[in-house]
Amino acid sequence: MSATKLFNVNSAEAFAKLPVKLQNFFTKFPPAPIRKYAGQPTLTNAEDANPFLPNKHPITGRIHEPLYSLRRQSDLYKLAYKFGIADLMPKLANDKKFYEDKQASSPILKGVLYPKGHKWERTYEARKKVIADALADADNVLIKYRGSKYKKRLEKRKLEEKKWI
Amino acid sequence: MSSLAKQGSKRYGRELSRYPHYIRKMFDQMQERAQIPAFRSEYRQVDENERYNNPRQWLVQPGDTVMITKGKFAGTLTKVVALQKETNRVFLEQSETKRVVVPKQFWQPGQTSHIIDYPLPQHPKDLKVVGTIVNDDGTEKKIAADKLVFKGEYWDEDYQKMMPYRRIKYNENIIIPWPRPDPVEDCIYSTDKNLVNERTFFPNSIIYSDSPIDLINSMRHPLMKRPYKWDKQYLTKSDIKRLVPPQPLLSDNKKAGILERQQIKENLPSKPLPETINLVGDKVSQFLNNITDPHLAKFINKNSPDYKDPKDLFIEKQKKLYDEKIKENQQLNKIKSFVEAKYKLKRTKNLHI
Repeated sequence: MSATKLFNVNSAEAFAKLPVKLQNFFTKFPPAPIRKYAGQPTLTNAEDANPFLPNKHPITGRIHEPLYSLRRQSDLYKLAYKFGIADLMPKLANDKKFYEDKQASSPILKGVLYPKGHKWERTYEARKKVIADALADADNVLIKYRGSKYKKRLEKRKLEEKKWI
Repeated sequence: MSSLAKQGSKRYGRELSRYPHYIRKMFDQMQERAQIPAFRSEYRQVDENERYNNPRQWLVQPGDTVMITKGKFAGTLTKVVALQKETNRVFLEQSETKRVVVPKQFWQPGQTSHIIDYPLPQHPKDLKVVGTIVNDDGTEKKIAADKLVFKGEYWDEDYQKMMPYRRIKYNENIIIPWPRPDPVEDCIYSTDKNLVNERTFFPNSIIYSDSPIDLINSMRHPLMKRPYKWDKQYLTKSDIKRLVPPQPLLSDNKKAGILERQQIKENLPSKPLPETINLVGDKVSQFLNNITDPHLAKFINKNSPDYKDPKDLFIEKQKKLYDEKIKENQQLNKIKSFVEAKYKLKRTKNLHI
């Protein structure tokens, strides 16, 4: 089955297709090349004040809450991700990431890399080896306790062993 | 709590004065029955508020010479020995007696028999106070006062209190003096009279106290006992709140802050910049045009602002149809009523003819 084109829109139509939330956000805070946003908290009246970060008021010295709450931030970010414009959003606090980026940036856990397993799993091979060795050495043990007569019997049995050829 | 403690206690014990008189009588009888016959009093005890407590009520005092006016000994002159406060009666030297049997443990010194004659107390109203008047020739004459009046007071050294003048009614110039009481001997523990009356403190001012203001607090911790709620001597938080005029709800700084926030809001662009539309739109269109997943496409369509729910669309369509139908019916009704009116008019015209 050939892939049919599901959308055919120009830039203006595409912008109009964005959810209202995202449209409003980009209206108020145009993306990076048009306006730049600081990665760290700054003053609230600064040109590059990031709406996602808690900024400091220049006069009162109080730290204002971010203009968008953490919930709204993540809502906007996830929506933008689904429209392929997540990289246009301002930086989130503490380098917060979502979806694949989040997964890629998080370290693989020790337990996932090296699963401990049950004790029977951990000792399985060693136990099997002990059994195999013991079986291989079984004749010698028998000879030791039964004497040379048994050894001769074994040798005889080996000679009398029926072969096809 | 034991029953003994209850009997003695004023709080938990049975207080007879609280009961009505007929119940009180029952308790009195019970108490009387519990006594041995020797100690059963002939006369009922008087309630505490009815008991005599000053010489005006008693009329006589111990040591008075009185004449008995009632009973077997009417007319005899005797002396008052003691007052029986419980019955408002007085004991006399010579009076009617009652024979009682006294147990040996209660025998008086010199008593030889179980049976004694116990004097019965007399009520002061059955007595007449006897006084002496000296005639002009120097002879003395005893008179019994039929009725007494009390007028004027004087300080009596022996009684150590103000005593009224006891006068004979209608002959008020004749004063029967109060008898001298038995002198009280001081024991080793009693305080000297002069020492008690000695004045040791002379205030400097009537208005201002000589003692320091904080004296009460220094003597007793203010929190040791919870003070009575109307007696509080300090302002609490709520008191201060009531006394201080209210502050404006928003300070100037807060108002400035609000204005600033409002201005920031107003300064934010209300329409997207064309550059923004180009930049974002390009990226989005590139992304959308490459979509092959129908589920994602459905999600995107559903989230676009011009999306309309098919359910809502259906309801809207139905409503439209319904409205059209109503309009049609209204038109039909109009025509119907017009036609009916026309024919009615014709019929009435015919009838008139």
